[in-house]
Amino acid sequence: MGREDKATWKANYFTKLTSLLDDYPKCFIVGADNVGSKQMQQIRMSLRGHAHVLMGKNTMMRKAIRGHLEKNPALEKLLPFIRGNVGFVFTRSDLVEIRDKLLENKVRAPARAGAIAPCPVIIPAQNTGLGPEKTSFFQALSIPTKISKGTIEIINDVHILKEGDKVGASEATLLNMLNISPFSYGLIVEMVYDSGTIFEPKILDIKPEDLRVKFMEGVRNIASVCLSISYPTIASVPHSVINGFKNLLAIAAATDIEFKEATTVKEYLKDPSKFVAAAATAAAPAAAAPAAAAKKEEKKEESEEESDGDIGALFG
Amino acid sequence: MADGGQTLPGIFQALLDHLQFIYEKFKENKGETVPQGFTLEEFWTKLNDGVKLLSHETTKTSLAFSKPPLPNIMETQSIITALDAACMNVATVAASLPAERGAVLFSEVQNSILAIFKALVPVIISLRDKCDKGADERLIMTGVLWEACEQIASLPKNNLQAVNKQMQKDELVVMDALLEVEECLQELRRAGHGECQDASILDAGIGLVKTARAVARRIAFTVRFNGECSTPEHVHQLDTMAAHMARISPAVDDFVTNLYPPVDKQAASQTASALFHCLQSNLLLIRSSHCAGEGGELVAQWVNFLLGASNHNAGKVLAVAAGQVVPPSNPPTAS
Repeated sequence: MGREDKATWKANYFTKLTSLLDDYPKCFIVGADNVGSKQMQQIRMSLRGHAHVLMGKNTMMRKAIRGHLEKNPALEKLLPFIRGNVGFVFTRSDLVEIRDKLLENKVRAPARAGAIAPCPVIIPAQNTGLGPEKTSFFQALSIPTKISKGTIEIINDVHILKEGDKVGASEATLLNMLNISPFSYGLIVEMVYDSGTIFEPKILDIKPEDLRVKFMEGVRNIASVCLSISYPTIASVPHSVINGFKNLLAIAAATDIEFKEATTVKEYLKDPSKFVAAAATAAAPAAAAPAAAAKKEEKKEESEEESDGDIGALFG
Repeated sequence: MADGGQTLPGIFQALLDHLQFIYEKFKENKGETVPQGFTLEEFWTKLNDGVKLLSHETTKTSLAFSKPPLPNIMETQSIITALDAACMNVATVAASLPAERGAVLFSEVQNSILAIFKALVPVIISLRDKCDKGADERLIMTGVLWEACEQIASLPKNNLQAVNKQMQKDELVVMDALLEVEECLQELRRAGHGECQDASILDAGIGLVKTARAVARRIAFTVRFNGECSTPEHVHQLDTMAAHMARISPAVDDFVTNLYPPVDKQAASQTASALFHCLQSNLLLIRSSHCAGEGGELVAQWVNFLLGASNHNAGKVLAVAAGQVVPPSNPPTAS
């Protein structure tokens, strides 16, 4: 690109960003760490017709947005999030659909020294096929190995990296030697902007169940407030009735007052041993079931032993 | 659907109209009146409770219209009355915050409450237009409202906290610009253009951006540890410092965008001067503020150092832009 072209490109970038901000009501701010140009091209292709990806220098993006605030003041909310290796994905389509398309475009990548592990990495127990001269790589990471048929064998599964760990040179070399590409990289949605509102991407995954859970939280709060201030509401009445009934039982237990529901409690207090026997009777069938199961297991083991005995016949 | 002349869309439209009225009235509020016996503690308790209730009422409304059987007209009216009352309550409580408690705090509260109302509008529009058929789209809309409501609990509780939060944000953005411009110079060097004039002006510019970052960092640090908001004068000083600090990041971005090849030397010189004046005003302001502390020797020391550094680095940019040969040196920054 010549000097003239670059100057034009710089001037056009501001116009392009502002016109995209005007044309599209929704956008994602996406993190592009570890995404190469080839992968970026693939992402652009897969989003063609659905969304428009725009990367660029953060300073230029912020300057363009600041220059556009007079027309659209809500864009100011984007400014604090334009930090690090980020870009925009503009769309008019369904946000969940576009987010899923971005997730589909992740590619596996080898562990590079210095990278932060986005997920835990486990090397499974295996025969590596590597010769004994490579033992030092395993020793450097204290990985227990043995030589089996002239090649190095990893004895147990090895938890080599935890999520968030920095990949060291030894880990990177070993994983590459074993042809393990443990990470997958792609555009990560960091924030969502929709018609003047900015929110976290987790909101896109809200399910009807979450709505019910949130509602029940509110009901519980109302019930506890109503109970403590003795103000009956639909939320608190069931609790009030149960609490009242508990009080009645307590009074009945301490006095000679009789009513049907208090009989069991009174009998229990009079002679707890009666209930111990009843509990034992009730527990007996329950206990018998596992015993029967254990017996069955025993029988099974016996039959397994019997079948193991047949192996001897091969040497008869 | 009609009951006493009312329809479900009609009920939702009435709420929308009232919500629009509340929104406009709240937006106009400048916090000029000070309610009798106003305390921040009581304000936050009432606001947090009110916002929780509003969030709950919205959840209730969304859930009620998530699947049939839908509430009848009377039940809908009762649900919507409760939601309307919750909105009114939040707006009333939030509007009781006097602006004299700090402009930064006031605008934080104002913007957060407006964000809640803005998040509620699409929920009601969806209910009006689609009723239970819009249940799926309302899940995200309701989630956005929950998030806006949850923000209230984490808002700064006084003007000092609000100013600290804003300064921290500004500092991070300036830091981002510095990292970006440093990376650009490295790329130029890798491409073998390290000796061209564009690279030398970029190199000189990095010194000025580093100084800007040091200024932002020092000011944020000093305000965090020495700032107070117990008197109207202190509150006013914090607001003035925050307003000046908020100009650093745009000035840095304006300057940096002119540094990228092909460099527009005239624009680079102009924006370097603008950035220098911005840094200077910030430094002079903190030196004369209550944050400088008793005597203020320590603050005066680093303020003088950074004034010198800004002057030196801005001068260097102007000199390189004018085509003068400047001997390479490490740009001074605050130690």
